[in-house]
Amino acid sequence: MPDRELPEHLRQRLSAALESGAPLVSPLPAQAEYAIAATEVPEPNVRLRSFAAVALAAAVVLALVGLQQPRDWIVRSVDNITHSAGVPEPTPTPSPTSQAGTVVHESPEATASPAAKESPRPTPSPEHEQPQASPTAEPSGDDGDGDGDDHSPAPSPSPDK
Amino acid sequence: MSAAFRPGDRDDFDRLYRENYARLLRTLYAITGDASAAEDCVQEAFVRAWRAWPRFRPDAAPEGWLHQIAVNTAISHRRRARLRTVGEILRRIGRPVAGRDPAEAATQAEIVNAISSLPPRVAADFVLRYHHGYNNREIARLEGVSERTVGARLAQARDELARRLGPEWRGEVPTSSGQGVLIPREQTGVTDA
Repeated sequence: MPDRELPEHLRQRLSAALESGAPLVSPLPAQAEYAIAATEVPEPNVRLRSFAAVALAAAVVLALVGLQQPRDWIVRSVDNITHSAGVPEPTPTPSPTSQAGTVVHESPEATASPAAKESPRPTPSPEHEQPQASPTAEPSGDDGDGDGDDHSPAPSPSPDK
Repeated sequence: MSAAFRPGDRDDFDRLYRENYARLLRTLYAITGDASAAEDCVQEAFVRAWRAWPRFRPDAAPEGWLHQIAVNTAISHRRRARLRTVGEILRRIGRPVAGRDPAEAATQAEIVNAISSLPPRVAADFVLRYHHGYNNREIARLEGVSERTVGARLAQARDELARRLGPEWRGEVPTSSGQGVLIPREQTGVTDA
């Protein structure tokens, strides 16, 4: 394909046609549409805002649901405690044998007190002299029943007798 | 040769805009045949380019990349305008032709109409070569096509213009070896103002 050139007068006519038909009024870059679009439509902000809204909504939902679980757990725990506490209610007063049994297991010193009543030997005398022996029996009663406070005075009179 | 452009940089894009606006406006005017449409297309092309600017690969020439976007924008505009052609012709009937000298204006309008009737890429190559002063190699590099393609397009343009405007538009074979290699007008410092 031969490469041809246009005669000079045709080139001038071509340039005149293009330049007069489309006079060059070049707007400044700041006035160009891309610059206006860049300042008017901050897409990342819109996305960020919508993401923040979704995240906030999710946080609220999670907070509500998350609070529900501990509440249930607390309610369940309280129920269990009340239930477990309600189980011994039908037998609120434990038998003296069980109490004595506990005393026998955990404080052998307390056993000496009945023996002291039966035997005239002076071995229990120190216990009689020590009123602190009764407090030693109290914790043993607490560990046994859980309600040792009600029955704690029971062993203490026994050494006194 | 202009300094390197940094993708996504606003100052560099502004520089790209200043350096290429005139060339793109005239090229798109030749494609669309309508000055205001050409301005709209150039602005739209720069908006598209601005959106893609962060993803621009610096190894390519930004002028060529921008040229492709602009020509594609003008092609889209022509497709849309074709649908409005009938209504536009009816609207323009009876309207006086604007211009200083009616005969000259008619001639210029004929030239623009003839060029804008060419296929868009053919019209763009014709204007780049004979108005902006690029040679075939530069046009080929700008558009990412072969020089042979550019030569074929220019021949097609000359033949079509010769048929519509007169045989002299077929051009002449350069006699000396120095002819045919032109310096782009933008590089000579000639301004359109």
